[in-house]
Amino acid sequence: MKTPVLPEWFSQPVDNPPGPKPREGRRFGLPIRKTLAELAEALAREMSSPSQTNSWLGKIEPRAKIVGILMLIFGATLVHGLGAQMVLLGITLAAALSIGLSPRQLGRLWLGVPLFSLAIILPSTLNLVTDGRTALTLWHLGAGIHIGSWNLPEAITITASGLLSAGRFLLRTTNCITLAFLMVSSTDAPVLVNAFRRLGMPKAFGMILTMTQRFLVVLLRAAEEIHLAKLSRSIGGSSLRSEQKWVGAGIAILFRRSYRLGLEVNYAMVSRGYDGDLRVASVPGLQIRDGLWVAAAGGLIALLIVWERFG
Amino acid sequence: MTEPIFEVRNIHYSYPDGSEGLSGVGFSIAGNESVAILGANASGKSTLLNLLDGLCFPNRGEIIAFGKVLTEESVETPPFSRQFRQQVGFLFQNSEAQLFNSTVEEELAFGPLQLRLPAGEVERRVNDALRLLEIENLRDRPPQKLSGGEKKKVALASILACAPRVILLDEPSAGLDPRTQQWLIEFMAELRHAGTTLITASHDLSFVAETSERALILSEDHRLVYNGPAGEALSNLDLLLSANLVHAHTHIHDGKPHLHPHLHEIWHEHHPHNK
Repeated sequence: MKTPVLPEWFSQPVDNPPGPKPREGRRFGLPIRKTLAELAEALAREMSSPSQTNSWLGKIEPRAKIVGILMLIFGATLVHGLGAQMVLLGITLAAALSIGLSPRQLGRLWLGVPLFSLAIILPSTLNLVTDGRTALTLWHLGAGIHIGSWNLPEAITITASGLLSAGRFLLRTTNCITLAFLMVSSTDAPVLVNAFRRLGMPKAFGMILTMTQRFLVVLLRAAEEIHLAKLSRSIGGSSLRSEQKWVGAGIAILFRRSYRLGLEVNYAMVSRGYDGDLRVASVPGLQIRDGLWVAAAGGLIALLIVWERFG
Repeated sequence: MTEPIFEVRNIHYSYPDGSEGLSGVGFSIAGNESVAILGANASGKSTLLNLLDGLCFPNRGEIIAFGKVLTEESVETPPFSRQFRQQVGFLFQNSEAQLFNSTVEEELAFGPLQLRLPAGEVERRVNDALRLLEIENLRDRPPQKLSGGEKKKVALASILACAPRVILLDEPSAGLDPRTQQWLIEFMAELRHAGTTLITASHDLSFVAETSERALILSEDHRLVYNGPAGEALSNLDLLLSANLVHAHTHIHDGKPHLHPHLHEIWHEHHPHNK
């Protein structure tokens, strides 16, 4: 074999490399790395924690817990009034605090998904979508303006009925999300998947849920590794925008790598006997308190519906 | 020699992209053997282990494990599927992929739980495996936060909790510090004494010299070019050179370069005629 000969530039002095000088005193790449690391860490820890799984809700038999929570979620979609929704939210919030969820955890939850829902529902508050009494005038257009055959109103306004339906939608979403979060935070992920399967969820869904949870951790770890490898070869600083651009461009590479890793995780699970049904340590059978929990959930929804219709 | 555990009959394997993985490979492995699968990078060692573990299947030829042909159907149909998974353990090269639970305890319980062992038995096995590998202090730790050596120990413990008769090890010494490597060599010897069959894929010749009695050598064109005693294989420099397991190494002595075969990590002496 021929002895490799290093090129001349390889031995250039390190204090005078070719190319533009990097900007001094500039930290780079840290926000993205921090985000990836925190996400991977949070997913690796799973959503549940011992303080919640040992709480009163954590001790409810998982199948009974799922049935009760699903009844409450279904109920949240049935009740229309803001009052009934507010009562349900108050009870859900009290339950969340009683199982040890911190206001910070709830705040993060509510900042994410309900805000996204708000962004979706906001256009429906305008008189362009929902007619009604004007609550706030946003923009005077003047008379006779039209787009094609569509005649625009003289002013774009937020209507009271639009605000009411947006509030209802937002409260309903917040209730459903908080209830779902109560369920996942008070139950270990494998126990939850196992309970869904015992309730008749098809095997393929259980397998997808199990693998998705494992895959997300692997995906984020692979992203962090790729980003670290890039950082180790970055000499000059780069802006957050160019870092974000790089993340976008790297998605394909990341997908390929995480697919391979995900496949390895699947092999490792199958090799130890996983056949699509995730078995967990024995869960105690149904007890009286589980029946009481389901009855309480059903009773609460019935009360809210009766109060709304006849109250 | 005892009954064969694995009989591999003229198998051919191609990857989904059409590239060749293995070509006409055949051998058999008996109980309580310690066999090394040697080969250069991309020669098909890991693929062969995957095939032996019923994780993928040959395009042609067949693999018989415990007297039954390994097919997608047979490894998914009870009772053979459960017996097979219980009897064959796989230590993956990438511990990161192998450790997917949130704590070490859950990791160790995963296999026995999937094999439907009773709760008391699962707990006993988890405790015993933790004690055996001296990792009781790691019980509640997330596997992702452990060092490379600790991860390897947890991965091994998670397999041992299933009490397998055969353990497939993919590059087990890769990334381990010398002390953990020595510990692994001694642990593998203990497993041999207990009657476990060990099949190790590696290109670390010094590790293989200490752990395996028989060697299977795969060439770079994915064929089996040697099946015999490991000692003989490791002293056959022409064979090792042709399989790219050693390379001609350049040295400069007294200002003159010279070439000679170089065994990684095996000490060699220079004589005047080498110059």
